Amino acid sequence: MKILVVDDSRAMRMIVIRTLRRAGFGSHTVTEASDGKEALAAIQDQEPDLVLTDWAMPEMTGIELLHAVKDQGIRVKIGVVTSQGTPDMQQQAKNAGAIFLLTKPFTVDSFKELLDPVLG
Amino acid sequence: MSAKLSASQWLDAAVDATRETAIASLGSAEVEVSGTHREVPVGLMGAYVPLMADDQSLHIGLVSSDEGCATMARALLGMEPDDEEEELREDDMVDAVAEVVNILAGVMMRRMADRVSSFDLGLPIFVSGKVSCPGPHDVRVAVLDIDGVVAQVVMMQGGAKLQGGV
Repeated sequence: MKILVVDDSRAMRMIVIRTLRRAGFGSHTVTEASDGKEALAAIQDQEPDLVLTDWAMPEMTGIELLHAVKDQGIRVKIGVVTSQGTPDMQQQAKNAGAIFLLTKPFTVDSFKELLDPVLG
Repeated sequence: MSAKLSASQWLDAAVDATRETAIASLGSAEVEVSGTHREVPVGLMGAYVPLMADDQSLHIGLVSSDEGCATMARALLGMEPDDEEEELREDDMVDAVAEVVNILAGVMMRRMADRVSSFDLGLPIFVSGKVSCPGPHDVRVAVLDIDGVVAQVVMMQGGAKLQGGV
């Protein structure tokens, strides 16, 4: 399966990818994007099975990406991985179509719990 | 709207958030507060993030020495602390420390969610230089020992002007 990791922080993308591997999802193909705009293009081009996106990014935020994907009728599963995670943000993400919102710092177990139903 | 929180209360929240972040993200066993003061640290480097909470404007920062920042970055990135073969690039160090502050601020926001009705978090920046606060401000700093790394959590309440850069 194809997973797209979106974050303006290269460090954070490395951490997400490392956690994916440790959670047992290392066999999946992982690609990266550094902001929502780049991610939207990658979604259109690569058709990933899952997108893991940060919230606050330049060019296009995670929530804007969710809205753009919805507006364009693109069917893709998107999970938000963010340092913020207030109840308001969780509701916003849910309303915009996110399948989950995972707050940082996260653990391998929390990753596995959320991604197992999606990736199998 | 919630009652305005004092800089001291914000610093307490920042220290708790730093402890949680260090343990969860840096693999730290222990975080101890060795002291507090009210001067913006000089001669150190680190990241700051702006935060708007209700009618308050804040900057939260985590600063340390060059070596301290490198140690924290290596820990976040899962690199061995003294592995000379795995070089830590400067841009990765900057990115990693900024991400630590980003995570710390997010933890702080969640901890304060029942006391603050609205929050807005900006994007972090990394600063190696003098940080000044023009105009009325309140600066509170906690000196921490994060598994042997001496770092300082900085809380600046009010406007702040950043000078210098990486």
